[in-house]
Amino acid sequence: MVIILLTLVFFILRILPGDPVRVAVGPKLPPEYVEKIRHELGLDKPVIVQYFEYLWNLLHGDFGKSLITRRPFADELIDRFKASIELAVASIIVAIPLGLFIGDVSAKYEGRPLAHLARLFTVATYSIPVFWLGIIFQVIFGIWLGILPITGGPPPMVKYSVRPITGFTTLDCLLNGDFMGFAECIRHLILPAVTLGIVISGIIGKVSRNALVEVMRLDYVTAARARGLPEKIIHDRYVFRNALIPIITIIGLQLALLLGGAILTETTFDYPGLGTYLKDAVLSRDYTVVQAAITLYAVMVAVISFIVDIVYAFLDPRIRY
Amino acid sequence: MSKKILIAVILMAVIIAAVAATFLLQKKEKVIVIGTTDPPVHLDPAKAYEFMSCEVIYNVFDTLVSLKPGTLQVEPGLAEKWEFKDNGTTIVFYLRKGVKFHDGTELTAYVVKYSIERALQLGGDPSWLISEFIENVKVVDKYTVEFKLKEPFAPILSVFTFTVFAPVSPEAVKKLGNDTFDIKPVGTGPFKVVDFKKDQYVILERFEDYWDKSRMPKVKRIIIKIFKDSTTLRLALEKGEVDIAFRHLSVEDLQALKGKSGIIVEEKPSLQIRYLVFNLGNFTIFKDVKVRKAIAYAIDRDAIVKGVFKGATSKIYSLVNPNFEWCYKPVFEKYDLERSKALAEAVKLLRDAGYSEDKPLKFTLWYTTDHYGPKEADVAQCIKEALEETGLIKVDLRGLTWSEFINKLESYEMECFLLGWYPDYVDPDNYLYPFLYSKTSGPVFSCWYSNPEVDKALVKARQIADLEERAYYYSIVQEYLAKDVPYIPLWSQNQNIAYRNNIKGVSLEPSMILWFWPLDKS
Amino acid sequence: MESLVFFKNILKALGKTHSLEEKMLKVGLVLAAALALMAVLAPYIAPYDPIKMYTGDPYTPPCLEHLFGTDSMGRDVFSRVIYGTRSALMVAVISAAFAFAIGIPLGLISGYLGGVFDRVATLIMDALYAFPSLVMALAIAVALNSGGSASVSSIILNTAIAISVVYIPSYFRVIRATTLSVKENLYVEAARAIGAPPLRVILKYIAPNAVTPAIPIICMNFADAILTAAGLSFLGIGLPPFYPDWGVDISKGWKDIPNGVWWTSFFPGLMIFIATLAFMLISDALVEYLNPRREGMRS
Repeated sequence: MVIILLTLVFFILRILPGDPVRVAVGPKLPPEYVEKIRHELGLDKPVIVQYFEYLWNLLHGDFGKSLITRRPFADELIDRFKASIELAVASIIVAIPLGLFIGDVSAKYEGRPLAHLARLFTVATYSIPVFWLGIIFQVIFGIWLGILPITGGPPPMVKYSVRPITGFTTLDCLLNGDFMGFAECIRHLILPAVTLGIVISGIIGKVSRNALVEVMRLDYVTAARARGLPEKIIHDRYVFRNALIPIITIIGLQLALLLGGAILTETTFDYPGLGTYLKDAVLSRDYTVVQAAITLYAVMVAVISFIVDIVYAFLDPRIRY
Repeated sequence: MSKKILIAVILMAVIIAAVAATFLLQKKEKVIVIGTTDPPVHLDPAKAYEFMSCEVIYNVFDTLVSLKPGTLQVEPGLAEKWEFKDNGTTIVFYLRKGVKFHDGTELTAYVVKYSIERALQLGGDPSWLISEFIENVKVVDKYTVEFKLKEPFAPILSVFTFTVFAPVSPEAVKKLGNDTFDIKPVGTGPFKVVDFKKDQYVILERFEDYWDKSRMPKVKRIIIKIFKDSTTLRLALEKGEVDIAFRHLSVEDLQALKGKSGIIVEEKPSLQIRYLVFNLGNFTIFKDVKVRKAIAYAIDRDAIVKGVFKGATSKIYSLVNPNFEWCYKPVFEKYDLERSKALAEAVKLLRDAGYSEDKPLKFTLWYTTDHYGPKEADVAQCIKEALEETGLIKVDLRGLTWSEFINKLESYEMECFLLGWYPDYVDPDNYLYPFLYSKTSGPVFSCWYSNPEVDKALVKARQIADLEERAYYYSIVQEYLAKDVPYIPLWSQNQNIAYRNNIKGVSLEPSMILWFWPLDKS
Repeated sequence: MESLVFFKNILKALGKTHSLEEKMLKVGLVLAAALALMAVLAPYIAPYDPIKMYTGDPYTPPCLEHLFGTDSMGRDVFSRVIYGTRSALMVAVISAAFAFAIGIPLGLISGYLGGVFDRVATLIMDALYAFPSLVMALAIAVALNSGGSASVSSIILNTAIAISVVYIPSYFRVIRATTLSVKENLYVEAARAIGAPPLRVILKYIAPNAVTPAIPIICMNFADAILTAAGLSFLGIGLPPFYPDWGVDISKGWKDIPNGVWWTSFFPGLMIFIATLAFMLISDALVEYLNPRREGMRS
């Protein structure tokens, strides 16, 4: 799947009208100079040759050079990628409990106003534009109350002074014992994570409700009830645990989409992750970066789908390979 | 089950809030944070051509000569003195002794020669400034270096103040390689680069062995933080997350900051010019000078300067920036009549050119949506409405991102567009020669203006050293500019800066460079 | 036709149960209808030309003359919001139509032919389906818009196409599944009668079965398209800044907030929310009706 997307993107970007090198260089400089840069970046070779060279380089972890800076950008890319993962994890930490709670409520109190409220909540959170919600939070907590930072990831001094063990700044601060730095990282993660988390929780809520209700009307639940087991135990042990399988599946898929929807959140909060990196590259027509970023997304989606499949197989006793 | 989850959620929220609140306990060390929306891209003098990249480089590197603070005059830098020989075709620089690079190596004439030749060989964006004027570099002795020019060029010393001429450490280049040197450069300047994350931040630290003790930085560390827009930058300044906000606060944000206690706002004219370009080469529509003159009459600079920019810009009446008082001639003022008169003139010219209400002048005005800030679309709309007031013009507006705009510029596809200019070297020659000289007017600006009289005057003016004579030739050129109207100069953006009142040493230079070494925080 | 019966059944069943689904559907339909009217009648409803500058003083707060206030250049926000419905709905309709037009036939062919074609098509569709829609739409929108030939209508078209690409797999799957099951049944019958069922017959049986699951997908498509289109223009891809579009207005309005001007970004955002919500409500209600998950109800 990764290959397909990669190929699509690669050729689409090459077919485009306009000369990306000239764009990157600016209008003042002579054409010979543009040709020189083109040659330096390997863009004057036939497209097919470029394609295979690119695949070969990718396997060796070489993403190529950015058209704008004409430097290799693999380090920047990975750095941004890790920041996005931090945001994704933080958002999931917000989204899952919230979503499960909402789903649980709407399943348990089926037909009553509380459940209706919960159901409406899921629909509403999915419909809300994440950047609008983000702006509202920024205004409330950043401007009016002034207690949380409006934009940005961890502040420069924190990022610079922490010893990079894993490359994930938040984690590194903890591992280094830099508690202040850790606090700063968390502060900058709160608003974007909550914003994105709320939006995602809607979907999780909806799916978990469906899964729970589905399970609730299965035979063995009725049987347990007939045997006289207290409702609470039925709920916890039978219903919830068995509904977990489809819920986890969906959560896994959401993680992949999370990385995508995060672009808007990152832009709103100016969070230095893969989303803003991709957006900047797209706007400045830095094709090599765009390609690499999309490839990275594709890889993420593939990896997560794979993991979800494994987890699913592990959890569902009916599937055994 | 749901109760358990709820409890877990609340507990988590409380813990996170507590963790986050600990930041209040943080000690503040003496660091100055400069916020900007303009990101540096290259920190290698051989590659840097964007403003902010050069801004950082000016504080991390030195040049042989530099601009005296507060003026546009040249003063000694790494070179103690210099002399011209052979009728102005050779310059000899005598270097200071004992100047050290951040990595401890010494500055010599060999290093200067190496740096210049490296910049040429790498062929980065700014290298044309060397290849255009310099024939070769020669080492005379360890501290004496000689440049042979291609031809005598009056403004050559101001050319030498540009970052591309800054010496780099050969050892460092060898050790790091060109790509890494672009992120972790090694120069002779008062600050060294400690970390650079593109589009995020640059961290600078004071260089304790800096040669010029009178310009030792007052603070140990300076952080340049990049913001995505003016609003977040202004909010950060208000909250104290940032000490100085430099390039580019929007007009509204600047106005809002002016009233705030604890914040100082400064504004000064800049070296920038903004103008309209007519493509005379690929399109016939503007071939008739009456059409161009009509547009010059119909354009309303006030609507732009007062309406769009609320006074944060000034009107200009020539391509030469008004800062060059000795030669600026407001030649376009004759078009800036009282509105009804101006419109009447425009209408007359258009009718003469054969246009009428049924057959109006139709063309597309192109502009870029991001490079010059978000107000560009409003400017375009202002121009459109001003021109359409004549009743004989129909303007179609097209906005492109800078990338797309450059593409169209390079392929000479736009018949009329808005552009800007900031000088490569501080001399009126750079405001007239590239625009009006027949060999560059087309390829660089897509204008294709060609007038042999203007060519002659331009060449003469760059070869003579005497300011009065040069002013004479430049006045000839500017008169032609207003007569032939290949461009319409419109406005110049003021440069501005806002900072917290406990910061000292901030000064807006005519050259638009912000020096970091005098900055201090109390 | 079966579909007509289907619709009548929905309305009857929902009318009877007074359930949440019914309320959701009603609210959703009313909102959607209102939006459609707004888009069509925009020139008559909007008090001012949305592009014209200085219809009032810049930054006028909401008042009688300007219900939603004015923006930095004195443009009326209320008019802009109303006109914004046009680009939003146009993108939604075009993208749904496009995805439908490509996804359905492909699904049909894929299900009918089977074999290698089916495998390859499914593979590509699965890849597209799992991919984050905004990222894909971003790349494609930029690719298509890059010529700078950019007239407003072509930008809208390009944005719609970019969004539709991610929706093609949904229609594809539905039709393919229907085709396969119909094929199964028909082959069984034909095996008894000895003869392969002709394409015409298959089509006759597919159509009614496909309509039912396709409708909620269309609504979902609409909702998503509105949201994604707003997201794209918020990022700065596509429409020029003076064109009335909800996403564009929010990205412009953000900088007004610290100056106390909240109305330039609040109302456009509210509209996006309402518009998306309308179609989401319809879609959710329909899905619920088709696969009821209610305790005590046996399927």
